This record gives sequence, structure tokens and C-alpha cells, in this order.
Amino acid sequence: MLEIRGVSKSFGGLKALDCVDLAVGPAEISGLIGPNGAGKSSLVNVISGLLAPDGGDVRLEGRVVSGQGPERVARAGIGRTFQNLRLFPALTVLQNIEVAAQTARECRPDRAVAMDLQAEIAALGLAGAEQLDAGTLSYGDQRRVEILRALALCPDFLLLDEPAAGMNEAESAMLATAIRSIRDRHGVGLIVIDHDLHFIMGLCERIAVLDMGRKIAEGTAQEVRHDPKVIEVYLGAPA
Amino acid sequence: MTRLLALDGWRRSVIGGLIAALPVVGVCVLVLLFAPAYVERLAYAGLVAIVVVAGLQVFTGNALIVNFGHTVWVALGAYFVAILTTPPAMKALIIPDAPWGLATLQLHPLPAVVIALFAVLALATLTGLVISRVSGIGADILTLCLQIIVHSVLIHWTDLFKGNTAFFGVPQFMTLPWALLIVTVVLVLARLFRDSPWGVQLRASSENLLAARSMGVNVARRRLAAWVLGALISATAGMMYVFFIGTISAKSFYFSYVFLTIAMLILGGMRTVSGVVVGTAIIQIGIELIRMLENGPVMLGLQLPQMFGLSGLVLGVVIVLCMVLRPSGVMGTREFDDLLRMWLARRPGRNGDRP
Repeated sequence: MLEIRGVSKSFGGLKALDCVDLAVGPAEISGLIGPNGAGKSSLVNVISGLLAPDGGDVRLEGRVVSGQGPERVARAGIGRTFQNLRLFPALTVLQNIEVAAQTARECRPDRAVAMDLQAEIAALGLAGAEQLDAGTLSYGDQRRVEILRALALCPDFLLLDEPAAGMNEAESAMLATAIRSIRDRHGVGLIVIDHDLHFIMGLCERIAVLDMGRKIAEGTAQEVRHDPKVIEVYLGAPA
Repeated sequence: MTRLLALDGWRRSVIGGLIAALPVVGVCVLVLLFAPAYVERLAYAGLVAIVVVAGLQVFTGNALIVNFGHTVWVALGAYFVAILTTPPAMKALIIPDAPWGLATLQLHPLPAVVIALFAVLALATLTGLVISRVSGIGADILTLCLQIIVHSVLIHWTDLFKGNTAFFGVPQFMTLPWALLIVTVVLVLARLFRDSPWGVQLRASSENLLAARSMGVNVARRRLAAWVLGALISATAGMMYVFFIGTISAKSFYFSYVFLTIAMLILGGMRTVSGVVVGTAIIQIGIELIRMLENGPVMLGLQLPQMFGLSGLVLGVVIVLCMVLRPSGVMGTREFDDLLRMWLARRPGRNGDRP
């Protein structure tokens, strides 16, 4: 269980996150949506340890992991991808993945042994690209390498920050299938952020909506879609 | 999961290191067979430089932190074995007041080398614990401070290091073939580190620090490992040097040598071990040729003027041109064996071998 409890974060006078609660169970695909500047990426940065929260905490299986730096969070079993790609461009695809796999072998040896990364590479359609420099791949492929790299941590939870950005409809449909398959095979819980409502609604079992740093709604796709507050802030108030 | 590593297995790194050493071995064999004694001495100096630059590459090339302090380990390695192996009769002249009974001590070179390496290991670990925790320009400045501190100690602790004047009388037993063996081992070691899981994690941290940390990489610990290994390799270079020349002086390891070796690394390409060989060879040979010009030789019947300082000028210009035209150095991010593999794959008739 990954629990975000009353997390707040301010940048100067701007309240990026205001007492946000969120819980993701094992093998659950949870969506996080909201307009630009709603605090989605800030929340992912707090969960993954890049930002320390001003208030509240993040707990993994009951243990506080927030405020201890990203290394600890990764080692505890929370992987992430980045909205603006952060691959190691001059390393090969395999070496990119190996950076995380090494952490898994050190900190989560049982799960690392069970993970067949070669099969995961093939499942995401990157077979044959292993020895290419990651920086030379297409944008969509680089996004997939980021997911693979995070998966190589053998995490209990994965945070995907706009995984479908820059992909066309067919590609994002394939990506959704791949994400579901990762969940089914590894029992990983996921928090997926995206602008593409269609993508999120089709993929996620529960969806939380952020606006101005506050959670304004949470529920299934159906519930969220018909919530008047969501319709107002996200889709625009009816004229 | 272990199957992934096999693709970049250690055998490939060893072979890659040997391939990088191959041209060095070739040149030295030719020198041994055909060249006059003074060329042999130049070749030996080149081998020492390769080991110094390889030590520098292990840290700077993988962590992308400029190290202005690497020659500190060259100097300390040289001084430590010099103090331990020089005959007491000689020490009575050089360092009669050495502390801890060192003035009357004489060790066989082998235990002396082991003790010196352990001393460097201890000092490198201590300094590395500080430097590995600092990123960016702060770390560069710290290495600069280390250089100045240690040089100051070498110059002013006259009882132990003989200060500003040369320390002489060290037994000279090193020969070119032995140095060649050391160079080969060091190049393989540097390559093994570069390709190892730790080396890959360190290179990852140098490309994107936040992403590496978010993949659980303990960046400080990886930097420390590279720092210590680099220091040990550099110290080995110092020992090679002093056991051949028989005399050392602290100022020969100071800033002009720092810049010369950094220039070699930059020109060859700091990301690769092959770049160490290429950069060192180009600059070492280039400087010797320019030194001949400096003396005003007669060429094509023309008496050229003496041009002292020309080598420094050309060195500076070469580095400027390299930074402008090819900032990643001659080799870029490819090792010799990578290029060889790419060339073999591209040859007509061989394409069918690969899916």
C-alpha cells in the first residue's frame, strides 16, 4: 500500500500541494489528472523523494519514505519516469536499464532474480534496440525505455509522469496494453499522470483529480467524468 | 536478469583493454628493437604518462568532474616508495632528520610498493569521502585545493620530502618491458571499471544526476570508488617514474604537469580508455617534435630561429581547437573495439550475419 497523507508543498508564496491524500493499493492502476499547474508533477516529485514535503508524509507499507532523498525511495521499491525525458543519452538502452537493475539486485534480490528483463524489453517493442545509444531513439521509444528502466528496479509501485506524451492514438493504445500487462504480470501498483483524458479514463481503475494543489475529486472513470467540480475546472464551466 | 550482463560481460572489457594497449605494445617493441637509448627513455616517459592519464580517466572520465588533484597521487606514490627504498647511506645526505626512524630504514621495493599503495588508499579514501559528496564546480575546486595543500606539504616538510630540491638516490630497476606490462594491466583495469555496473552507474550519474539518484544510485559511493581506483593507478605511475629516473622533485608534478595530462585526456576523449592512449600519444609525440623545432634546427637548408615556449603555445592551441571542433575528443564515446565491431558489421557480405 502506498499512502500519501496530507502532503503540502509550497514554492515561495505558491501553494503547489495543499493537504493532498491519496492511496494506491498493490496491483492497482490509479490515474492523476488536472489542468496545467494543478500540482501533479509536484506530487510525483514528493512521492519519489526529489522534493521533501512541507507537511504530511508518504508511506510505503506503513513506513515513511518521504524527505529522505530519491535514492532511498527507489531502493524501497518505488520507480518513476519523468515528464521531460531524463534518460542517460550516451549510454545504450541496455546500460540505461542496467543502472536500475543493479539497484534491484542490491536491494531486492528475490524480485530481481524473478524479473526477465529481456522479455520486458521485447514486450515494450524494443527488442533489437538494446545496443543503441538511448539518445538516438525516437521520442516514443525513449519514453518506453524510461518505463523499462523504472521497471528494472523491480518496484512495488511505479509512477508514470505523462507516459503517452508525444504518442499518437495507436501508440498510446499499445502503451496502455503494455502498462496493464506490467501490472498483471508483476503485481505493480501504478500512478499514471497524463493530459490525455481518453488514455487515463481507459486505463485507470481509480482517478484522482487535482486542481490548484488540492484534490477535488476521486473515484472511477464514470464517477469522475460526471462530477460537476471536475467538469468545471477541467473541461471548463458551461457557458 | 543476470543474462543481461552477459551482453556486456567482463571478457569484452578485458579484450577491449588489450586492444587499447596493442598499439602501445607495438610501438614499444619497435623502440626496443631499433631505436637509440634516448628514444627508449622518451618511450618510457610516454608509458608513465599513459598510466597517469588512465588514473585521471577513471575518475574524471566516468564522473565528469575535472580533477586538478590527480598528480598529487603520482607525487605521493613516488615519494612514498622513494622514502622506503632509498639506502640509508643516501638518506643520511638527503633526509637525515626523517621522522619515525625512516632515515635508517630500507625496504625491498616489493613491500615498499605495497605499503605505499595502502598509504595512498587511506589518503584517497579520506579525501574522497569529502569530494564525492560535492557536485559540479564545487568538486572541481576541491580537487584544486587538494593539489595546493599536498604540494605545500611536499615543499615545506623538508625533513621527510626534502622540500624544494630534488630527492635523489632512489634505486633504479624499472625497464621498458615491465612498464609495458603495467600499462597493459592498468588499461584493462580502467576499462573493466568503466564497463562494470558501478562504472555504468557513475557514468549515468554524470549524464543525469537526478535520474540516476531516482534509480537508486548512491552517487557519492560510486564516485568514491572511482576516486580511490584513480588515485591508486596514478600512484603506480609515480612509482614507475621514480624507479626508472631515480630522482624526484615536487614541482615536476605541479600545475604544468596537471595541465599537460588533462590536455591529453581531453584531446583523446575523456569518456573512453582508448582516448587515453590516443590523446597521450598525440601530445607526447607532438611535444617531442616541437621541442626539436624550439632549438632552431636546420630544415631544408634553412636555419630556423630558436623558439622557446613553442610547445606550450601549440599545446594551448591544440586544446582550443579540440574544444571548438570536437569537444568530446578524438574518440568521443567509442572505444577501439566498438569501432572495430561497427566496421566489421558494416562490411559488405557480412550484413546477413545480423538480424
